[in-house]
Amino acid sequence: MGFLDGDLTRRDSVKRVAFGLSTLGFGPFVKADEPGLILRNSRPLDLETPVTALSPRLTPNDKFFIRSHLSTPAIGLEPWLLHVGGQVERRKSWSIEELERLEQVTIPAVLQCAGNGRAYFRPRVPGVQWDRGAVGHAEWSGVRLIDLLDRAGYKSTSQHVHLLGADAPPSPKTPRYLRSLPLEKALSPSTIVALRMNGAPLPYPHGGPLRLIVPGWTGNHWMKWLRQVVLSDVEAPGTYQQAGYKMPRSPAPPGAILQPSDMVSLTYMNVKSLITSPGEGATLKVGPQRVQGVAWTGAGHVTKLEVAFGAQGPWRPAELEGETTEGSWRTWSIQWSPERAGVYSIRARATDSHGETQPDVTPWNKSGYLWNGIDRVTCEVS
Amino acid sequence: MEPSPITSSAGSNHQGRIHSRVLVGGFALSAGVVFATWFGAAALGRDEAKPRQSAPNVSSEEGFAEEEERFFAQQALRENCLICHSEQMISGQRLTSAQWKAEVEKMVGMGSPLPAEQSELLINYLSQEYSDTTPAHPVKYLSYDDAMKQIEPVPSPARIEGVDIEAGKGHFTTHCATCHAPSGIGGDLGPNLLEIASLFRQPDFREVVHSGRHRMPGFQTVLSPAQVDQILGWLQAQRYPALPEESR
Repeated sequence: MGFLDGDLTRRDSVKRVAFGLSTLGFGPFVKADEPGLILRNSRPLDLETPVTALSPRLTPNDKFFIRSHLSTPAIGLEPWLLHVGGQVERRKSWSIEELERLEQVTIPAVLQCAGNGRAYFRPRVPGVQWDRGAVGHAEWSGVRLIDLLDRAGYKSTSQHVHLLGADAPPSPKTPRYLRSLPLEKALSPSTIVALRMNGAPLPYPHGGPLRLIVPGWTGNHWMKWLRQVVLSDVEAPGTYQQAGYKMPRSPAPPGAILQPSDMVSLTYMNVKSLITSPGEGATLKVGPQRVQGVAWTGAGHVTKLEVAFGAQGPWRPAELEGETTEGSWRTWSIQWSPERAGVYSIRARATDSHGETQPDVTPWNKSGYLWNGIDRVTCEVS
Repeated sequence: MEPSPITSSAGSNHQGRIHSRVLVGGFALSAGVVFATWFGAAALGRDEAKPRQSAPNVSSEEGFAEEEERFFAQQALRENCLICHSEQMISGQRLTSAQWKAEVEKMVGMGSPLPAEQSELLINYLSQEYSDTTPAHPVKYLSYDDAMKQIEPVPSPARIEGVDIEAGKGHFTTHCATCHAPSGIGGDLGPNLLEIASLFRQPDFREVVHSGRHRMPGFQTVLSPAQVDQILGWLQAQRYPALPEESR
C-alpha cells in the first residue's frame, strides 16, 4: 500500500523509492532476516517480538512487544503526576520522585496481549493480526497499588478502581482507553505501579514513566502512561470496559447471537507455551540438539511441558526451569537427535497447576482473544 | 507515529506531496492522469500484496470505471482512515465483506469523518483488496531504536519558550478551531492536538501547518512562522481533560 503516505521512516522511503524505481515496485521490500521487531502497525505503534528472541528468562526491553490503543502521549509538558481520587478519604497526587521514595517491589511477570495469536483463528477476525510474539517476560519494579490506595484512604463503598492513561483519543467521538480493575485485584500485593522494567526506567513505548502491572491477567489491564486512578462503586463506563475485552461464557460459533449477559470480562491468561528455538522454517543438522522454549499460565504456574517430534511422535516431557511464581514464565528445554534428514514438525504443550492443558486448537471467539493452541514449528533437518 | 495530521516524517511528507500533485491533476480521468496515479504509486513501492504485472487496463470503459473507483476509494481511505491508523492496520487484515462493513461502521462511530456516500465505495475496495483469501504481505520489521525515533514523546529540542501564548490562542481560534475544536480536542474533521507527542516535533508541526496534510490545507500564506510558533506554544500549555470524579 505504498500509495498511502504516513508510515515510512525516511530511510525506508529512500529504500523503497530506490527499489520501486528499479523494479517498478514489484516484489517484497524487506528481507526476512532483517533484524528488529515485526511491524504490525506504525501509527499507533504495534510491534511484535520475533519468537526466536524469547528464549531468555527475561525479554530485553528493546525486544519486548509494543501494543498501543492510542498515540504515545507527550511526556514532559509538565512534571508527571499520578492522581488518586474518587471514593477516597483524601485525594492524593504523587510525582515520580515521590513514588520512588516509597517502598519498591520487583515482580517477574508475563505481559501478553489478549489478542496474541489472533492470526490463527478461522474464520479470521478483525484486529491486529498478532502471530505468536505479542508476549514477553520482564522484571517490573515499582510501588504496590495498595500502598497508594491505603494512603488515599479508599472508602468501603468502593468496589472498582478506574484507570486512565495520558494517551488522548484523536476525536472526542473516539473512546479514551479507560479500564477498571475489581478492588480485590487492585489490592493484591502483586498489582504494582511500575517505574522500572528490567532495572531500567520504564521506556515510553512500554508506558513510561508509569504503568500498571497485573501479573497473571491479560495485557489490557496493564494501563500504560498511568495518570489517574479513581475509586468507584461501579465498573468503568465506556466501550473498552463494557464491550471490549470480553469472551463468551462458553464457546459460541461464528454468527451466534450473544447477549451482554452471555459475555464475561477477560481476566487471567490461559496456559500456553512457545517453541523459541529452533525458529519456524529453521534448517538443522542431523544429530543431537537442544530444543527450547518458554511456558506460562494465568492462575497458578506451569507444572509440565511436553514436546512431540514429527506428526506422529509421542509426547515427551521437557525439563522445566525457573521459578513457579504466579504470573511469571518458566523456560524449558529438551534434547532431540533427529537421525535422518527430512522435514519435521515440533509441537509443545504446557499443563498448569490447575490441570489445564493447551488444546490442539483454541475455540473460536469473535475478537480473537486468548489463543493457546499447541505450539508448532516446522524445520528441516539436512 | 501519531494519529494526527501534524505528525509526519520527511519521507511521508514527500510522498504526500507527490500524491497531492497527482490529485491536483484533477479527476478528469484522462488515461494520463490514471497512469500517473498508478505510476506514482508504483514508483513509491505500492502494494506488495498484489503487485500489478502490467499497467492498469485503461483501454476500455470498464477499465476506466474500475480505475476511477480505485482512485476515489484510495482517496477515501487516505482522508478518513489514515488520520489515525497506519496503512498496516488495514493491509494486515484479511476480512470478509461483512466484517469490513462492520469495521468501517465502527470507525465512523469512533469519529472517522468518512462521508456516508463514500462508505460503500470504501467497503467494496477493502473487501476486494484485503479479502479473507488475499495472500498475506511479507513481514516487515522495525527496530526498537527506529520506533523510538518515530515516537519521540519527550521534548527534543526543548519545549518552545518565550512565545506569546495568548496570541497563539487567538490564531488557533481563527484558523484551526473550526476543524480541531476551540479547545483543540478535535472535531469532525481535525484530530485532537492536546498532549500529543508531535507537539514536541517542532519541525514536523511547522511543516504540516505550512503545507497541509490529508484534508488539511496549508497555511503558508495565512500564518507567519512566528504565529505558527505562538499556536504551538498555546497548544503545549493545554491539557486534555481528566476523568470526572463523582465524589469530588
